[in-house]
Amino acid sequence: MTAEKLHDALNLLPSDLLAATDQLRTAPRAKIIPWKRLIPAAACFVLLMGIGFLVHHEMPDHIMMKQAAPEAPAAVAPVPERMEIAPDAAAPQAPAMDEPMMEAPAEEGHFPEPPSDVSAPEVPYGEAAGSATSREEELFVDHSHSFAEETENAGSTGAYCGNTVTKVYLDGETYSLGGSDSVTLTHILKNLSYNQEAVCRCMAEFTVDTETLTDIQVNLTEAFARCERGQAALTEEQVQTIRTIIENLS
Amino acid sequence: MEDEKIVDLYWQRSESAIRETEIKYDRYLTKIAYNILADAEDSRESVNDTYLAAWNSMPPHRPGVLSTYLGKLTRRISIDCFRRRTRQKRGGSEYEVSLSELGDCVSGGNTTEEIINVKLLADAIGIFLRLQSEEARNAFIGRYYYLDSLKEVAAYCGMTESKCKTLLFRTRVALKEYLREEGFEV
Repeated sequence: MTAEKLHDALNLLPSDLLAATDQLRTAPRAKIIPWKRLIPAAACFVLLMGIGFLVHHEMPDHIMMKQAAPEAPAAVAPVPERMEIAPDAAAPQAPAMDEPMMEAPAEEGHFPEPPSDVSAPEVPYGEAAGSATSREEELFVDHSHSFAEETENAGSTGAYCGNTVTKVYLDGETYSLGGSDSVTLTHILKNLSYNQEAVCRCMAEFTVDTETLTDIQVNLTEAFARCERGQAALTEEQVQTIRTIIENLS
Repeated sequence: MEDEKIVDLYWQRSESAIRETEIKYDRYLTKIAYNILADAEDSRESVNDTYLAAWNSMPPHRPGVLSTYLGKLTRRISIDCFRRRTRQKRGGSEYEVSLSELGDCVSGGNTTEEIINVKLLADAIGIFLRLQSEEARNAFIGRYYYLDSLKEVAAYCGMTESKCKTLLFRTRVALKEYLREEGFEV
């Protein structure tokens, strides 16, 4: 028997056997896409890139929102009317929305912002919790500060006297003041006439803890001090005095 | 056009039967012929001869499955053409490769009795194939009847080439054993 004979015999195979195979071999088959196996990997890659993009771009806002909405009491006074809008470029420019506020460059004569762990929250005391959008808008609204014309005292004008230690949180460092500097600083900040309705959202340059009043946010450039009792403007003289004390820290 | 209508046209001796056959099966038949002959011109000639053979055989034949009927004609004509051609020179077609592979099943001898018993041999192979798994049967018929390449057989049987090759080898060995048991000299 030869292989050719086998071929001849195969030619006589029943049609039903052949038809079954013929149907299989002539059936349309799905086109094989060479890169098909890469599709799941590509999808995963795109997904990871998307998540990475979102995390990278959403995180600062997320953090800002957290900072902008601390455990502020809900039923407190609304934003004070003192926040005057100054559209002209005279006022310091607020950072862009997508730039973290921590990275705002300190201008000449400005003290760097205290670290987030020790500084007071950016939302002023007494601020009612508003919607996220309005809060963000208000956060960056330009307004002007000016020196107080006369000392805003709460009544007691007497010098603070006694053995006191004052802590200043500046540029990530904690400084302890004693002696006359402590007394002077405590005297100025303690006796200011703080006004709840005068609270704005400007950043503090450093924070001060006195024996009687803690977490006082001070901005010498904008000449104001802010604590849980409200906000008060500083006179030029007070600013100069405090600046001297702070500059002596280093 | 449906196969039945085409067959009717042959029976009516209508010349459009060949035209309709060509429209529907030309590519299919050319593929079978090319698998055997590995030559476009010879394949074309074989397919044309197939149409003539179909015209001459219907009537009296009325095939149930026109495609396999025409395929058989093409296969037989192409193999004859191949044998004529290879008397002078050897070609490199799938048919030739399959001859070498099917040589595993047979001794290579040629007796008068065997020549007479081709029909019996076909019946035995048919029975053997029905005993095999569908996968093995399709692979065997695809490879040795339709003479598709190993790659093509593996693709439409849904397996890898190496698996297909192994499956074909086992089927050939099993066929040899079966034919021996049936009394064929292999």
